Amino acid sequence: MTSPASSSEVKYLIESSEGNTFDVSGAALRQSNTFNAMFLNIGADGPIPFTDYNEATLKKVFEYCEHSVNEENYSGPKHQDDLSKWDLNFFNEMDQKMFIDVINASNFLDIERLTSYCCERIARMLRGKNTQEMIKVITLPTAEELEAKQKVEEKKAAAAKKVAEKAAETAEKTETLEELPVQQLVQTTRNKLTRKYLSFSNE
Amino acid sequence: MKFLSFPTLVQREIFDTFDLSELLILSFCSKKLKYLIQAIQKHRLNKVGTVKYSLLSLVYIIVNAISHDSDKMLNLFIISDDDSEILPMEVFGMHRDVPICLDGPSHIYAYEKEQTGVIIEGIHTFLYQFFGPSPDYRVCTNNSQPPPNLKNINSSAIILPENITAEELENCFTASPKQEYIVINKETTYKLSPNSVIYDTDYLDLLRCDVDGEDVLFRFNGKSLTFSDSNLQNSTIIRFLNTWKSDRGFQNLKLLWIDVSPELFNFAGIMESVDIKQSDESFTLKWKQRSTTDARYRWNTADFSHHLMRSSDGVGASMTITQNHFYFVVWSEIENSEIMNHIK
Repeated sequence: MTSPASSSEVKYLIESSEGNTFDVSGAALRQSNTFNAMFLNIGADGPIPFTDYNEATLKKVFEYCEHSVNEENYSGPKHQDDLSKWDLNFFNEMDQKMFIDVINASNFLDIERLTSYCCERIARMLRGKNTQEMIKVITLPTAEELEAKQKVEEKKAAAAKKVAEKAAETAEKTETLEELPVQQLVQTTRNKLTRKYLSFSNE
Repeated sequence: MKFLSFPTLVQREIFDTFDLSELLILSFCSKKLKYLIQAIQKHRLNKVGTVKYSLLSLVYIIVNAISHDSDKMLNLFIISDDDSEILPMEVFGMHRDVPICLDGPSHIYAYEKEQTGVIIEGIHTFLYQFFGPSPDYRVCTNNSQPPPNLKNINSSAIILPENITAEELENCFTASPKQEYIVINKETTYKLSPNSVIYDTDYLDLLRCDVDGEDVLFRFNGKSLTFSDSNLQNSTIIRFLNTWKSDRGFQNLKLLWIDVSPELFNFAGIMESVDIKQSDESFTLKWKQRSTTDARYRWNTADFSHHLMRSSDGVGASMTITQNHFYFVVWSEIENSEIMNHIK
């Protein structure tokens, strides 16, 4: 059951990519600017579909929102050193895959506080490192990967070029026919039919 | 973690937490990352008004990026230390062979002293590409070495080394011959080469150089010239004023400021020789001067009651001689009509 009421007691149903649904409190959900923009005033008839994200990710994101319901209003990013023990545990217990999913979901749901903390955390992973160490952290494509990607793109471009050329050729032919005066067109068709007839008779 | 796959807003927020020296290191990681930083940090990079390379010693280079509001946005120290080992890294887009590497914090690099020229050129080429052409790229040197010959330099503030010849100095400006502002400091007498490109600079300050004033004055083609000549004579000023008045030279000139010896000057004699008009009241004129410290202009003012009109186009200028200075300021269009009504 979902409702547009503003009371924090109200629960909303959230639907994940697996099609599973689970409850989130209105107060937690209202930390998402995306939700506020889409559903707050009009309400949601049935589960709210956030189907680009799996259940585990969404639950993790809303766990954060539920926790920070009673915190004072967000006033810009906090330094990681200022994070509470709960916040630190929250981040530390995620593996990298989950962490990245949480960033993406938080960014989509536009939850400023969580997105900021995640970004600050990534920045912290990079800070103080030299170029080689940074490359390892942010997994930039290697020269071989770039080369392979370039080859695929070249193939795609060549195929697209072929299609375009063919289309242009067809268009040209149609245009030529359209440009011919009617008498000439009749004559051309007659010639073609004659040639066809002759070829049949020869056979 | 695949950084390039993050949404742009996330990438932007991460970049926002870095200072410029850290962003630079990130930009060394790959061309794609560099373009990404340039694209989504444009709002920060566009704030850079001056990029300054200071070579104030033979063993270090300081690179500053200063905002239009004079805030220091970047402060890099490139230090040559014989004791530290250089493990070449591909920084500032330079090939791994070039001996420069990060040395601890993000704003300190170590380099091999013998390669100063290559390194400063590499750093400048990278930063010029990174910040774009709009900042004022400036070279500052002291008397330890001649200025590096770099492309796309807009201004230079240099103290000349003791034994530098005019020809050697010219060779320092071949890559950026037409600069907007040059300030040269040399405490001893110095003579520029007769066809020096320095004479084409818009704003030229020859501070504490006791130059051959007549030579400098009559070769200068820019807008603003400042110099000192303890031997400058009345006759030079009269010749200058007559040349300007008859439109035979100094068409670009807006400001002339000469430090003089008052005993060699006789203002009454100058007034007699040139048709100088006196106004019934003195006027405060304002003119733009380049700042010696950053890319900004500063407004300067002085009171004038002596004026001269150019015969060909009616443009006017005011002049004054104080205890130690001769000022000559060409009027703006607004000042022109205002002062004209008060000239006797």
